[in-house]
Amino acid sequence: MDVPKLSATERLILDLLSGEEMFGLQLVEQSKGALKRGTVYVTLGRMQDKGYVESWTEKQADGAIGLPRRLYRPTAYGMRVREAWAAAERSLRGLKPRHA
Amino acid sequence: MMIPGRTLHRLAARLCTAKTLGQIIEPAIADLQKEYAAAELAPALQRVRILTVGYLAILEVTLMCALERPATTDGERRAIARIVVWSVGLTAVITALLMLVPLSIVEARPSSLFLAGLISQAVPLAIPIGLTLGIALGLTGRAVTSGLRRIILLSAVLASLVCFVTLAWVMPAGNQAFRESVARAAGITEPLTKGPNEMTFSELDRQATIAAAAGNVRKASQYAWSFHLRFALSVASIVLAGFLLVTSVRGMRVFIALGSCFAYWVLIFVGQELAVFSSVAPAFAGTTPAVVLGAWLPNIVLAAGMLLALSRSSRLRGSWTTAT
Repeated sequence: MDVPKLSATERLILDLLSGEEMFGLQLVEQSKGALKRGTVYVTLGRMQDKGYVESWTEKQADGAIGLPRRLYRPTAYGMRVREAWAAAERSLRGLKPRHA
Repeated sequence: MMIPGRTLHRLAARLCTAKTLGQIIEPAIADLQKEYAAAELAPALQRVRILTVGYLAILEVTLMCALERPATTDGERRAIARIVVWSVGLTAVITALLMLVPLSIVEARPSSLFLAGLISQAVPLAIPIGLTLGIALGLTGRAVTSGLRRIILLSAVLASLVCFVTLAWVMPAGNQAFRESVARAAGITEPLTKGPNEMTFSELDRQATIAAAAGNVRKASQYAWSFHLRFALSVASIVLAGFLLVTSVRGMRVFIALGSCFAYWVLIFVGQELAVFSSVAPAFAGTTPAVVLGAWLPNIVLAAGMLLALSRSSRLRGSWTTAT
C-alpha cells in the first residue's frame, strides 16, 4: 500500500488549519508569505482529493453579491497523517551514521 | 457596483471541469469579489491594485489547472514550463524596454504613480509580443501536439483577458492618477481634462458622439478608433499565437514570431491612417466601417493569413494522402 505523502506546503496548511476553519485568503495572510494566493486553491484542491481537508461554501447573507467563499478544515485522517509524518521526522532526526 | 470576475467565471465554466471550477477557480474569484466589495469606498488606485492582484492570482490558478490537466506526457509539461518561463521573462523585458524612452525624458526620480502609469500602458503591448516569442522559443526543436496546442490557446485566451482588463480599467485609471499626481506636484489644482488614453469605454463612446454631433469628424473618429482598438488589441495574443501555431515550421518559429509581431505593430499605424487620417481615401476616413476596419486591421490580416495557411496545409495533406 502507498504511504500517504505530505509536502511541506500541505503540512503548513494543516498546521494553520489545526485550530479552526479558514478561507483560502485567510490561510495566505496567516502564512506570512509562505503560501501564494495564486497557488493556495490548487494545493487545497489536491489535499481535498487526498482526503486531508474538507470544504464547503459559506452561507451568504440575503442580498450578498458575488460568489460565496469556500471554508476549509482538516479531516481526522489529515490530522493523523500530519501526526505520523511529524513522528517520523522526530525519529529520523535522532538517527546518526555509525561512523559519526 | 461593479462585480469583478463574472466574465472570467463564465469563460472558466466553459473551459474547466465542474470540479476544477468549484474547488479552485470559484474560490479565487470569490476572494477577489469580496476584497473589491470591501474596498468600495477606498481610493481608485487601491481598487485598481486589488483588481490587478486578484486577476493575476486567478490567471495563475487557471494556468496551473491547465498544466495539471490536459498535458499528459513529461515532454509536454516541460514544453509548457519553458513557454511560461520565456513568455513571462520576455513580457517583463519588453515592458521595461517600452518604458525606457519615457523614463529617459524624466529628469527627477520617477514616482510609483508614474511607474504604474507607464507599466499599464506597456503591458497590453508587451503581453502579446512576449507570449508569441515565448511560444516560439519554448517550442524550439519540438513538434506541436494537440495537447500543447490546446494549452497554448488557453494561455493566449487568458493573456487576452489580462490585456482587456488592463486596457479597459487599469490603463485609464493609472494614466489619470499619474497625470493628477504630476499636476498636483506642479501646483495645478483644477480638474484635468481626460485624453483618449485616460477614458473608459463609456467615456470614449460619449466623447465620440459629442464630437460627431459638433461636426468634428477627425476628433470623433480618433475617439471611436481608440474605443475599437482596445477590443482589437485585447485579442492580439489569441491572433498572434494562433497564427504562429498554424504557420509553424520547425526551425523558423522565432522568425515567424518576430515577423508577425512586427507586421501587427505596423498594421496598427496603417489602420489608424485608414480610420482617422486617410489621405488615400479621404471620403472613407471617419466613417464607422473605416474606424472598425482600421482598428481591427492587424487581426483581420493575420486571421486571413492563418486561414490561408490552414487551407494550404490541408491541401498539402490531401495531396500527400492521395500520393501514398
